[in-house]
Amino acid sequence: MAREQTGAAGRRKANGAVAQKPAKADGGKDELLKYYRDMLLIRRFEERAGQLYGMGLIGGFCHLYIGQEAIAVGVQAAQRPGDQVITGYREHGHMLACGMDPKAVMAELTGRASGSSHGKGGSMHMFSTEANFYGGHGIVGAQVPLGTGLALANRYRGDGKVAFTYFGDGAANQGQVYESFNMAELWSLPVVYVIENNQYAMGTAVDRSSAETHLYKRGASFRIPGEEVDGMDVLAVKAAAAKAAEHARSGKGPYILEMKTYRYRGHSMSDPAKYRTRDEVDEVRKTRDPIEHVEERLEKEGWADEAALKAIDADVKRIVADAAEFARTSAEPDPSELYTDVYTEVRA
Amino acid sequence: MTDVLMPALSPTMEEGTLAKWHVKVGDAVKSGDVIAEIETDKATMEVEAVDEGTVEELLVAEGTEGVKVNAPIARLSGDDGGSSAPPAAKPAEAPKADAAPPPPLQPALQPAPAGQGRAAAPAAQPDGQRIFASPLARRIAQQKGLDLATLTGSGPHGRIVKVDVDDAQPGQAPVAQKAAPSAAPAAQSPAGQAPPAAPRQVLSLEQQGIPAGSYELIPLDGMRKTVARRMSESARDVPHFPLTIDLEIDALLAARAKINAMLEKSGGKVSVNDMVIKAAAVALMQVPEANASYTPEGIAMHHHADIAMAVAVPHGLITPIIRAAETKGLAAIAAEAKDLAERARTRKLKPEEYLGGTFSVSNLGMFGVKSFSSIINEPQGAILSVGAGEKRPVARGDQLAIATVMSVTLTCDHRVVDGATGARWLAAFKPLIEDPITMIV
Repeated sequence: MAREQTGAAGRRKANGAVAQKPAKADGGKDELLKYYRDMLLIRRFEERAGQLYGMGLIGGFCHLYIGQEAIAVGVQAAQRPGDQVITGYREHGHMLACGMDPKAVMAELTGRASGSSHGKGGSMHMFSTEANFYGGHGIVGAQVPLGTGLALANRYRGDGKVAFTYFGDGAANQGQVYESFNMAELWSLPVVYVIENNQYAMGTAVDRSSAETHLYKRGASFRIPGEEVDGMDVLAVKAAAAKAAEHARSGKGPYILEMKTYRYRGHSMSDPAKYRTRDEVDEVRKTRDPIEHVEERLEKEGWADEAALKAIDADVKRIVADAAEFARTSAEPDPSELYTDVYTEVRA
Repeated sequence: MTDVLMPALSPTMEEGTLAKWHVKVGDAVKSGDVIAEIETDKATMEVEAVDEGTVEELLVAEGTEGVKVNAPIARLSGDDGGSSAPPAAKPAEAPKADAAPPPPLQPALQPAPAGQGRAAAPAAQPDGQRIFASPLARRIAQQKGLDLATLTGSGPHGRIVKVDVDDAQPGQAPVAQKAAPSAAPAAQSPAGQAPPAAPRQVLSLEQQGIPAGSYELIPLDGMRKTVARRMSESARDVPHFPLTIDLEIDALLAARAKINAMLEKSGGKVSVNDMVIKAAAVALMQVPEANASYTPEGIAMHHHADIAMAVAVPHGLITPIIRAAETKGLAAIAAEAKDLAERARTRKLKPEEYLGGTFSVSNLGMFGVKSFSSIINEPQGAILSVGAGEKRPVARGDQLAIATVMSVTLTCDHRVVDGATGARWLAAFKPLIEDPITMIV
């Protein structure tokens, strides 16, 4: 798909600049303000997406990223330009973190021609090679061999890129994950497996479905190193991702990061989430929220006062409102689009 | 100002119940706060606020059913603007939620009484806690009339499994004790007795919303059990179809009057039903395919027309039989029918007097029933339902006339009596009734 992503390119450069700084756990003022803004953008975007879903403007399924924002933002901060991202269907946040235009993402959600996949992908099937985002995949765990394949391509080309392959605690029990692990280590592929452990695979708690609940240990029998990371702390995420990326990029093979996180909303919009208590959700929101965590730090360090934060918040809200308006008012795809992007043209 | 809209919680949801408000007018809300619970046919879900602000107005009362997706349910003020959903048109005369009922958006629907709609949730404890039980255990418990809440589970984490419900007796469950008193004796019939036919398992009345104590329970006697079983089996297993025709009976009534005048001295009396039985027997001889029973081995073509007549008795009915009715005169049929009916009412019939039979006649004409369709008395191939004789307008050529007309319905077992066979039988039966002298030919 050849699509203009000028805005996206700009953001990507900014991200890359951050990533090229030496990785360290402690962020400076500008860095932290950027993370704050990026995470807030994802949160407000997802809240609005949830509202549009409630209004019937988004068809099919919709899985919100609220609560897990620190992971996409923190890992992105450790990436270099050209590094790929591939994940499952809870992917709106990753797309925004990759620097895609919120308008194109929201319009994809509402199935409009101006969406990043021309309105034909929807929530679960977004894609943008321009942003090095290789999807949005609907089959649980299926992105893991694909991400491993991206890493194989990187190795084959010797271009020094790393494939960041995300999956959840539910997908961690899929067989194809382990076939991928085996090949990745065997061939020392430059891939970082990011397990977003939000504690519940749909409605099933990790300890009800997994014999080994420390998912970072899942690579042990393939000799893949892994570590557990506080996925609610954007700086911890970034530091761990930088370390893992360095490992992969230097030819040592894959690395597993288990991000301990939490999603505030149900698995999908239709999930009443009766498998956990409201108190549990409230406790996490109150004590571990990734955005409030950064906000406190910014205020404590004197890097931003309430007015400055309000200004960021207002700016983000405006961006999201514009995206929603764009997504509501853009035209739906022309029926002839049914026949495009179905087959790849084979050059003689 | 921002309107909070009724959200769609699934791709197919069109409306739902506003089960509960978690906020009241004047409350400040921010993104992520739970403001309400919405109930669909599938689930109850929490609705979180997207916009910040103060609750200015609750537009839909708690418990309102059928709230359409995208209808405004509340109004927030104080949002810093720009990012909110466009306010929807204010509904006319929107009452405050704390004001009395009619919900503003769905005037045709009344707010549900508290708890309604949740009563059907299976196996929820009074405090709303889910009872863990395997699907098989749930089904067995339902069939046995057991209340899961009274059982202790022996499965993983206290889950109620099959063995727990297998071991339990309905008597253990307070709910089932009153509502299904016959279940336990039936299940415990002494060894050696013929096992009762598997009773169709249904929910207890209590489970169906009729509390114990609101009715008097009459124990099932043998006749009621037999009627229940045989009619259920027949209705379930026999492919029934009805055929209805109208018969003019003025000639039959005139003949009956003449016959009765003749029999007056001997004390005999012929009823219309007796004449119907006789005519039916003669018609069965003329169309023997209708005097037949379906069996797995083949079609049994009966040699005689043994006509069972349905007799209503206190708390039931029984069908004594006029054997070989085609061979008997009206006076004999009348005398036999009278005797059988009397002894039926006092329950003094011998089994051989009501078992068997090749065809049945059921008559509700004396109650003014115009037409009905009976359930076949297995293993018979057909049953005739006789309605009331009444004066009705009839067309004679192009002239309207008045005649005494009686509708009869032949219900057929399609396995043995096909439509055309039934129709041919009715075509044979009709002249016998309308011109009764032909009965003696």
